[in-house]
Amino acid sequence: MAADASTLTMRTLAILVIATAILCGLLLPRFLSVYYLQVADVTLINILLVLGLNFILGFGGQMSLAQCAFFGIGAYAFTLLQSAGMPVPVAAIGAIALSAAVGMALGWPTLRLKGHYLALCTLAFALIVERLLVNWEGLTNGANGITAIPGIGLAGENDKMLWVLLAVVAGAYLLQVWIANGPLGLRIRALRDDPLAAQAVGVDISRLKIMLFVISAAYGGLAGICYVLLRGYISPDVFSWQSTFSYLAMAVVGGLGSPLGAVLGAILYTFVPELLRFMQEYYFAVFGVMVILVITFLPTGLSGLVLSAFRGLRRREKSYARSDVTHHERAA
Amino acid sequence: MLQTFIQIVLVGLAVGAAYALVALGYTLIWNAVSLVNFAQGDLVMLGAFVSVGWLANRLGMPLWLNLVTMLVILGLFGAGLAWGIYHPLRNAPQLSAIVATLGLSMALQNIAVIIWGPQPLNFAGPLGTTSVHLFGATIYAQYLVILAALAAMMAIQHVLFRHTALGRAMRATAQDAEAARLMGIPTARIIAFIFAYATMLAALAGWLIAPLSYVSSDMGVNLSLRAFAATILGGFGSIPGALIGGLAFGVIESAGSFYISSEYIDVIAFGVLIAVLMFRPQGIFGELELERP
Repeated sequence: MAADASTLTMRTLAILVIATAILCGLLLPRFLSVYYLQVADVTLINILLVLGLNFILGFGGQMSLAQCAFFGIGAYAFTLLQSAGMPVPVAAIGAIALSAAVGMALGWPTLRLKGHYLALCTLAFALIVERLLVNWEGLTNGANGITAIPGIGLAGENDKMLWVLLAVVAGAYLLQVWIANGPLGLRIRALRDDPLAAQAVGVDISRLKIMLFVISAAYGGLAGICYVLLRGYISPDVFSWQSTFSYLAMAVVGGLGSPLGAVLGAILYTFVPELLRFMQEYYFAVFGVMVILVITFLPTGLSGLVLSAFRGLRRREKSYARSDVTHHERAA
Repeated sequence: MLQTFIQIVLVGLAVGAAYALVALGYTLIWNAVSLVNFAQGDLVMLGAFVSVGWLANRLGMPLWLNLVTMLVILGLFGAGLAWGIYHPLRNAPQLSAIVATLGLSMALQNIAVIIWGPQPLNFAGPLGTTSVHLFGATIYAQYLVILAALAAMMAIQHVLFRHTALGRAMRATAQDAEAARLMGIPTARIIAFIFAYATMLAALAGWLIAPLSYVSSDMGVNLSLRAFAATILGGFGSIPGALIGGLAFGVIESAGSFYISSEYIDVIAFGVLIAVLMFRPQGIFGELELERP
């Protein structure tokens, strides 16, 4: 579980992640009913979305609330491209490219905004995308959504989709760690911890912020494609602007900027409440309170707890999970 | 033609008045402690639920007592928020504070479902859907009540801020908390007052719109987003800005959905908002706060 600690080499981590994925793929279908298997699949898609949110929010410290919009853009773009007769890989690449392009179109003009201004701007964008999905009936078939999407012919086959999603999520996870540990990651952390100082030592923070927006959006688009493949139908309510808050909650409780946190947060928000169905409202009320407590007292989130427990065993190095978030930035 | 226009403007102003009440809450808290309370809309919902779910349906209170009791309860709750949300995070980065209020919003909505159930409550109020005729237009009487309440609230607020020691202390704290503290103003208590007052404004909005819509756990979400947009339109941190922004946003929405397209009104309204953020982030009256790109 030391997936975030830079004590691990990339190769060890890759082996760990892939082994975990294979283990999940082998074990989950044995223990989970069809219904819970589908919940597991949805959890994996949420992990993908939160991994994406990690780039802009966790690494970049930019309050983007548009993740649900990229989710929707990816899903609808893939569906429409496929129905226009494109083969699956082309449609997928097209959908991801479109999400990324929209991410750039949102990231570039909002460079000057920060804090609640950026939050509201991205939220307004998410709302506009949702209204377009509902009302642009010629393109999206409106509130009824689109059914019988061929995808890769695995819609509804939760056990087979589990493998597909595990592969995608493992890849997305490793890519995030690779980016965060590479030279780009250094610049990203510099931007988050002190934008002014980062700029002073020659980091082009504008380009970096746009890049984070673009990668975030691409992950969102990829999640959208995965959703189409899993379900075979889509409708605008899946991508409602209110849903964006749940991805934020997952990211915060799991630990902002930590890939492991994305996994923990999504499981806690998506899978666990299904197990505790009888107490759903209580669960989410507690989850809301947890968001407050975690951001106040434990800014590294649950992954921070897990990792510090692990470091207690190994006593070496530090993770790049956010550890110093609380008391500096305001002065800057 | 003219009657239709008057009707649209009156309805827009009344809906906008509710936005303005919520927007004023944002503004007062922002001025005092530089925090944007994303749960402001859920305080609207809480006010409506306390008033309808408890005081009206359970206890059958007369309307005036209902209003006063509800405002007292929500005021205390607001003061509690100052201690529970603001104080622990007062030195944290803005991002953390925003996230915390979003967590609060999620908690409040689910707590409302636990307390009052998942079914929306219905509350006709004394006026119900009575209509009145005004300048040839026909509108709900409740809309006039909302407009009157906003006017009354503004008068009360003016007296409070300009002519009482508490109001002066609130303004001083909002202008410069540190200096106010050095002058002997108990700023922590004043900030709790500001939170209480902002919460009461939101709750009043909930009480006012309850007869016109169902009282449900997510009723504050749309309202708060629009009030937030109104705050930015008017200029964050400006009290006249919040007022005029709220009323303007209500009228734009009402006129836009009639004259342009009711389906695309959100797209247009929030498209305009994004444009305002791009080109004039300080809004109509507001302060400028930008980052160099």
